[in-house]
Amino acid sequence: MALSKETVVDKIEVLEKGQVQVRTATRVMEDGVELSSSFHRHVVVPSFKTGDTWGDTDISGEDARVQAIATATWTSAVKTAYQEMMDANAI
Amino acid sequence: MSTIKSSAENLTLNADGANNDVIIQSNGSTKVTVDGQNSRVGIGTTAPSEILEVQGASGLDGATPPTIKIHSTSSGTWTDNATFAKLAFGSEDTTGGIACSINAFVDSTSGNNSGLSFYTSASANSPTENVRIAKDGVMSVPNGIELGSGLDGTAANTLDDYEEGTFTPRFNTSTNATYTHSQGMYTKVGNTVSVQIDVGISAFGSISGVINISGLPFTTGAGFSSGNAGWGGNLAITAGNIVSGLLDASTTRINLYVWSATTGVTNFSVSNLSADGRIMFTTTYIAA
Repeated sequence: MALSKETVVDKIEVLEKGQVQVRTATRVMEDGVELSSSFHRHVVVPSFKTGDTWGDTDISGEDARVQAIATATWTSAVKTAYQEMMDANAI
Repeated sequence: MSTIKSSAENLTLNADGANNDVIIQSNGSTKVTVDGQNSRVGIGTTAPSEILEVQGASGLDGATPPTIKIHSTSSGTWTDNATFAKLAFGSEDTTGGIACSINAFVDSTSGNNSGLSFYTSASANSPTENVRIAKDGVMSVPNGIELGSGLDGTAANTLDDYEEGTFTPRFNTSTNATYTHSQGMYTKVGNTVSVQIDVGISAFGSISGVINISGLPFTTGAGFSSGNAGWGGNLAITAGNIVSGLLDASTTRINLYVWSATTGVTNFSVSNLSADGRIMFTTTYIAA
């Protein structure tokens, strides 16, 4: 009877404006059979605003697949559209 | 034992003549009837009303229900999810193939663990598993359940998502503050997300200016939502004031405000948070 634990990014969702929703699953297994699992979520956005200045989001700490998807998705047009939407929605 | 046997050619049991039945009896009692007039088979009945009819007494306590069994003669170490028995449905439109089926599958490598799958088709000869009941009774319906709207699959009446989990709330997305508490829990039902947040610090780090709580698990939808802090610790606000939050569209943050009966609404800022402030916040919002 061997217990093991694995943490994997099991779901990546890309929204219309380029936000990447990431779900991380933590699974506890016994001899390869899942005993329990839990989810942790975070969202990575195409652009990041500091003060009044927009800049690129640091995705260096993200899972490799999240990085790949974000890099492919976040074209200049997507970033600009996201920034314009956020500025328009700002209260 | 008496045996009817044919070794060299097909054996035909023929009740010759129009509408004659083939009847199998035991001890003078009819057990199987082939209804020649209607081309039906009855087991336990001499007048089957369908192509195949099986009759038997269940007992009023249900102890002996008439049962049709589909039995696999295989045993041993199975491939997980292997189908070991199947009830299939088809029509000539599927050119003799299978349109829908109910499959019994092995839900592990042991044949003692089993579940049921329901397959339906949206195109010819390509049944797809759309409902599964696992060995432990959990039902999986990947495309959702329509509630209260007939049988038309209306999207607005279809519950198609449920999820529980955690997230990591921050003040102003800051990761270099010292957090004493940073726990978020969410439950998503359909497009509605309920969150419980507990976030507190012991050092500001780069946090400055107006404060928000960031890190929501799902991006907010097009509309706006709001909520209130249910509890606060070490906040620098006037007694009687309320800390509230507004979730603007397409973000993952809660903008915080202080509501005062005398001065109105102001942004919740770093001076209100104080260097060891803590907020518990609960809200519900519509996800994108």
